[in-house]
Amino acid sequence: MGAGGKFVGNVVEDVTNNLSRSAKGTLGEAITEIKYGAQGYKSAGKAEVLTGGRTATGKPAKAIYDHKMTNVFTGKKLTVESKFNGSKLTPNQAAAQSNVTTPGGLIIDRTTSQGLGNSAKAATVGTGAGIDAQRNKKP
Amino acid sequence: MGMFYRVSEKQLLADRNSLIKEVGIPSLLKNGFIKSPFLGIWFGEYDNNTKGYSYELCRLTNDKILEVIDFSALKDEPWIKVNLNIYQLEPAPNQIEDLAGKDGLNFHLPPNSLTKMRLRSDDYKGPPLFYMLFLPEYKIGNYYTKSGYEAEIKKLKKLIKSDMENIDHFVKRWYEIHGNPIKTTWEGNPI
Repeated sequence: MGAGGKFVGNVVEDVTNNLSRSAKGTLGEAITEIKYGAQGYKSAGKAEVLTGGRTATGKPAKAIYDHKMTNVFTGKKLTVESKFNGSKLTPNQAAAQSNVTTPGGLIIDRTTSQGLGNSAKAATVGTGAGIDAQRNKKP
Repeated sequence: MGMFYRVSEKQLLADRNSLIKEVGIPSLLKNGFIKSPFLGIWFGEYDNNTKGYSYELCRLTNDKILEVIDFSALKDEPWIKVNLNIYQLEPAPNQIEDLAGKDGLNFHLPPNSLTKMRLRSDDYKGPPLFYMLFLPEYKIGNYYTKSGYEAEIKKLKKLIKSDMENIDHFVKRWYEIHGNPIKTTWEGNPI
């Protein structure tokens, strides 16, 4: 069972590592929705936050974060950006970060291919949570 | 080929943008709103960075209170977001055209953005679970056929038209939630 779990874990890690950048982004966003969904949060679309600067054409520059989450029981709002492996905030996202007014500011929810592999392994052998659960703070 | 009818993300964005232009904005214009007079605002140009469209409109009440509404529709999501914020400008302008060319960026930054109310979301009372399940939102819902998609568009169009024609209801709700408007200069600097 342990060997099977390790095999499954390695396969998941390898497959996710070889996904395109776009696919990794989609996967990361989906994982975020599942994780926060389990805590009672529902996404109300992307969050638009001004950076405070202007575009080359003089318009207000905006950053987009993946999720504007609302807790379905308490109404608490969160702004969450999904990131996969080591990907960083874009320049606009970094510039707008200080203008996020939801509790906790901008929350970066990072999914790693290793973490997914660990979760797959744990699910296969029935043991505890993987490393990613330790990495991300709870809201 | 999939079993169910699917609209491309490009078409979904185009249709939501059309709704804003066809019913959202005209209904607000009938209620005394105009295209925002502030410098360099978004009003229907495609934003390559956000991959969407946004619009800003304003109204100056008889009490010289500034009401600002912005619409946005982004790619890869089914929402139309409509936000309302209200400010008390000092000194009070005689007419909204007095604000032409002023830099209104600060109106959308903290602390002013703290009182921004998203319509059909922040204004609902009670646990969000209730309104998320049962009350309308500005969103294209699930569909499985072409006629189902068209029905969703028609439903959303009717909702936006009705709400923008009745915008004073949402203004009243804003006051119930936020109390008195923030006092700011004509450039949105809090006083």
